[in-house]
Amino acid sequence: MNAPRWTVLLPVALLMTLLAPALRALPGGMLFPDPWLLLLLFALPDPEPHSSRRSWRMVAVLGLLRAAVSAVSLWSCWAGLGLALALRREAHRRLVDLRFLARFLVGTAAGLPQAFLDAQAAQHLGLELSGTVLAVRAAAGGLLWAAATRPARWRTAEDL
Amino acid sequence: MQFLLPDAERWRRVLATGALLAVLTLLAVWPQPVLERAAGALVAPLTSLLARGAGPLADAVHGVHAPAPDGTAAGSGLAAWERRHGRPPEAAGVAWLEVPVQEHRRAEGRLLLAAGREYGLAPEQAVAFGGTWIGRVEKAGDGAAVVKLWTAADARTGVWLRSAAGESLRAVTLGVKSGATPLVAWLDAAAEPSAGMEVLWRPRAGDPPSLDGVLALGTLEPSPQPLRSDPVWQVQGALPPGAEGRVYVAAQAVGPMLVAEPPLWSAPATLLLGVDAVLGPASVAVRRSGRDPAAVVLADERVLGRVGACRGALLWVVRRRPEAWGAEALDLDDPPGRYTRGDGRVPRGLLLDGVPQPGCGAPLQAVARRAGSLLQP
Repeated sequence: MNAPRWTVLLPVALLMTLLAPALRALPGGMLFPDPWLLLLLFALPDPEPHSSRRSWRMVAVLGLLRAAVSAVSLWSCWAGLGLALALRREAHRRLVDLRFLARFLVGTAAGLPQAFLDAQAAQHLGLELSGTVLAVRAAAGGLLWAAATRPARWRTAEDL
Repeated sequence: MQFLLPDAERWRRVLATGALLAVLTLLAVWPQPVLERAAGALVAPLTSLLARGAGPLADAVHGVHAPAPDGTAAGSGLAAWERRHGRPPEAAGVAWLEVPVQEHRRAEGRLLLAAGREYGLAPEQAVAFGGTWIGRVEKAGDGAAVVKLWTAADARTGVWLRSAAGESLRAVTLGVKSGATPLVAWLDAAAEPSAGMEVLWRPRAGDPPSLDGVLALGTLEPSPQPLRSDPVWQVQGALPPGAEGRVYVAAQAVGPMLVAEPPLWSAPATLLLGVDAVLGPASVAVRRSGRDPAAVVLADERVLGRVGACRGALLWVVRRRPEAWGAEALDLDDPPGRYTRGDGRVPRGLLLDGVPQPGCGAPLQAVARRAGSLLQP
C-alpha cells in the first residue's frame, strides 16, 4: 500500500482541522476519536516503509495543526501522535493483524498515550475532563481503524 | 568504515525514536515555561489563521447562544458588602484608611496589601476589620504593604481579658504556628482567668489610646494539653472572611484619599474560537489587546473563565461552573451571588453567576491584578 501524496494529505489535514472544533461541539462530540490520530493511522501504510522520515514529518505537521485549535501544548500533541505511531509499529512487529480483535486492540492501544497526555493537559489547565470520555475516544479510534483497514489475509490474496 | 548490521541499525533507530518521544512526553507531563512560550509563539499565528474558518463553523454547530443578561453585573457587590461590615468603630484622633488586600498568605500568617507608602502606610500601624483586631503593618513599599496577623508565628499582642462582670486583666498572646490557635504567653500575676472571657486589644506606646478595649480578638479557652500540670490558655478567634478582601488601617495623619482602589490591569478581548478541538466547549480561545499578563476573562462583567494557557496575544480560557470554583469563591446572601475570592493574580469580587455564552456578543475583557513592588517575585 502506498502512502497518499502530501498534495492530498495537507488539504485533507487542513479541512479536518477546520472541522474539528465543530465536531467537538456536536451533541456527543466529546466522544469522537481524535481526527489527527485517525488521519495519521489511515494515511501511513501499515507496515510502514523502511524510511520513517515521512512518518515523523507527518507527526510534526498534524501535531502543529492539532495544537493550533486546542489549548493542549504542542509538545503534548507531538508526543501523543508520535507514541501512537511507535506503538502501532512495535505492535505490528509482534502481532499478525489477521483478526479484527487484534487490529482493534492495536488501534485502541495507539490512542491510549494520547488520551493520557490529554488528561494531563486538562489537569494542568484546571479543567474537568472525564477519563471515561478519553478512554471511549481511544476505543472508538481503534474500532474505526480496525473496521476500515483491510486484513492482511485479503490483501495478500489480492496481491497474489 | 563503520558497518552496522540491519538489526543494529534498527536498534539505533528505536533508541533515537524512544529518546525523542521520552523527551516530548516529559515536556507534556511537566511543562517548562520557556519551552511552552516558544511553542506558543510558533502555534499562535496558525491559530489566528485557522480560527477564521474554524470559529464560525464551531459557532454554527455550538447552537443557540443565550442572550446577554440585562443590565450590568454588580462586580462591586462583594466590595460593598465588605465596606458595610468592615468599617471599624469611630475613635477620637483616628482616621481609618481603607486598603484592598492583594493576597492572604495563610502559611506565613500575612496579608499583602495593594497600597503602600504613597498612601500613607507605615510599619507598626494598627489594622482592623469591623470590630476585629487583625494585626500590624510589618513593612510598606511602593504600591504594596505587608500586615503581620496577630495569629502569625511569634506575633506578640497585648490584650485585655474582660470578664462578664466587667473586670479586666492584662495579658499577652503569642502566635504559635500557622493554623494553630494562639496561646496566652503572659498573664498578670494576680490574675485569675476563666474560660469564655472576652479578649480585647490593648494599645502600646505610640498607638491611638482611643482604640483601647475597642477591638476584639476572640474568647479565652483552656488549651487541651493534658500533659501539662499548669493551665494553658488559648485565644479562639478567626480572620473575618471580609478581611481577605479589604482591611482598615488606623492613621493619625492622613492625606486627601481615604480609600485605595485595587490596581487592576484590563484590556478588551475578542473571541477567536468558541470550542477547543480536543478539550471541547469548556475551553475557548480569545485574543486580547496589549501584552500584560491576564488572569481571567470577563464576559459582560462576569467571569467567563480563568486563563489556562497564554500564547502571546492569544489566550486559552478555561470555563468553569460557579460551583467548580470551590474554595476560590465566596457566597454572599445580600446581595446574593458567588464571587471570586481573589489571589495574587485573580481580582477579588468578580461575579461568577449568570455568565453568558462566549459567542453571544457580550463584550469580553481580560483582567489581572497588578502587583506592587513588594509583591513581585
